Amino acid sequence: MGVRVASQIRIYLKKNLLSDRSAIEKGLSFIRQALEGVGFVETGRVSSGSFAALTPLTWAADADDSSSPQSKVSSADYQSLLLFLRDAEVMLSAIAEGQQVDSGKALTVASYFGRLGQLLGRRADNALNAPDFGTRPAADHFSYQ
Amino acid sequence: MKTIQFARVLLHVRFEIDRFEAALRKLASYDYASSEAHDFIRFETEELKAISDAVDITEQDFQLDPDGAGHRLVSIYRVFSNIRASLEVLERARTDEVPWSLIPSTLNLAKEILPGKKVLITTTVHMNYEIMWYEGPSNPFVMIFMPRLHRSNAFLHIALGHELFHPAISAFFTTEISNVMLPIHQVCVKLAAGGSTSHTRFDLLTDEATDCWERAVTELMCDMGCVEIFGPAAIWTLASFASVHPLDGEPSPGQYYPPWRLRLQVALRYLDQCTSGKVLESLLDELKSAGLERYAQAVENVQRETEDWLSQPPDPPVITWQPLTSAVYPIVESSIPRAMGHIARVGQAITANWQATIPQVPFLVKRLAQLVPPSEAPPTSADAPEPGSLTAIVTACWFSEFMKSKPAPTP
Repeated sequence: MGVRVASQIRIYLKKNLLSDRSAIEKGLSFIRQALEGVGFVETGRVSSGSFAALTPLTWAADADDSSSPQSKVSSADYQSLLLFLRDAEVMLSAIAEGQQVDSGKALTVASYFGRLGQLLGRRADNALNAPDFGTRPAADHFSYQ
Repeated sequence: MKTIQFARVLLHVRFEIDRFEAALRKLASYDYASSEAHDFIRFETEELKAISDAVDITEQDFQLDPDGAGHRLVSIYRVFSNIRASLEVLERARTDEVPWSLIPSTLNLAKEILPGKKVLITTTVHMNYEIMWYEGPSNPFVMIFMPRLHRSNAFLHIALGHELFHPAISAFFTTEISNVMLPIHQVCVKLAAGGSTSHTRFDLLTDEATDCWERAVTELMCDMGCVEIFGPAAIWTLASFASVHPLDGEPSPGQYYPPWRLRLQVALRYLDQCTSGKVLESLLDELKSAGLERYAQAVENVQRETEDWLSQPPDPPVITWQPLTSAVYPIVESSIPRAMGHIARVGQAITANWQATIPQVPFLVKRLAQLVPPSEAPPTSADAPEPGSLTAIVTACWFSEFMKSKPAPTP
């Protein structure tokens, strides 16, 4: 998802063209879940019945190289990530609707998703290269013991 | 990415897609124990087409965004590498690889517990029962893996009942989070304030605490589901698995499986609830009225021994749990009554559960005593006999095993 979103933003800036609209929609969904995760960190409450809210937040925070401290122990430490995610949501919504966007800000969001894609790609490679991979695909998975 | 490198990746990906398609065609010529395997082959062929289309679009975008297209192509290759494992799943789902005679009755159970899903039973080299599925309607396939060496072990096939419940409990978690997320948050605030965690990020701490809670409740619920289907036989199978593991092992990060003592205690509580406290009464009555008093006595002894075993103090004494695990388990306990209610509601769909098939058990026990496979239900007319129920068969197998068991030597 990360590298697809980054690529689509750059192509949109060059040609005002969306060849992979679903990538932008997936990016938007990811940002909204991560925002919900920030809300949980701040208040201890979740607004929707989705447990995915925490995993997107941890990924979003992993890819965050903004000025926020590496160590995040209080809700105040998530403020810059929160502001960035809100800006990214506005940017992706505008692209999805075919509106004009600020290229500098759009490239910042593209760079963020590129970083996220590399990060998730490395994790996927680790899973795909695990010794027992090849006998079963990676999906929701539970074993008996 | 340079043009030559992009072309190299493209060649590699297209070659592998072509080989995958050929392998699927070969697998389509094999014999499988259920039609789901051929449905799965058709589904994977469609997935392959979607991947191939994505490769074409990425190639078209290369001129506009060379680096992005390169990264996308590698990402598509990862998606492809993931579905490539389905070749192994299909290879090990062939008729001669699985307990084929039990597949139809297991799939009948699956249809009741997981309406709308397509269950494919396959085998694995791992000594473990596993399940995989995808949330959402886009991929309806559920894969259940059973150990190859257990192919003919009816006692342990009961674990399939546990696995079947995994996809059936998602709805519970959707509602339960409103009850537990605030307590989990409070626990994490305390752990962070007291320096009782190695995490330097609060989101990672809450993610781990949630994982610990969710994994425990999930496994306990699937054990309850197994009891819902198989009744006391589920307890005996659980106890078999537990016998080769520490009874009080602390849930460990990454997996967070609940300790076996708790799993068995919760399963027994659920069985007690299902039978209004008269766990074995109906089974024992059926055995006694069929003249099988010795069997009834053996079953009573086993049940008593299991309960005694669980009431023993830990040996060696339990090491103090990590602060996170200790803090989360009271929240796990608080979810158990609601979890029991959810499993009971899902269980209402199961028509041939253990209680419904008790009348078949004495007949099957007698067949086993004469070394005849317990595969047919008692004849009700002059017509050809009906197949025995899966739940009655495994219960009868356990009873027969108890009669063969010799008492353990006194130390």
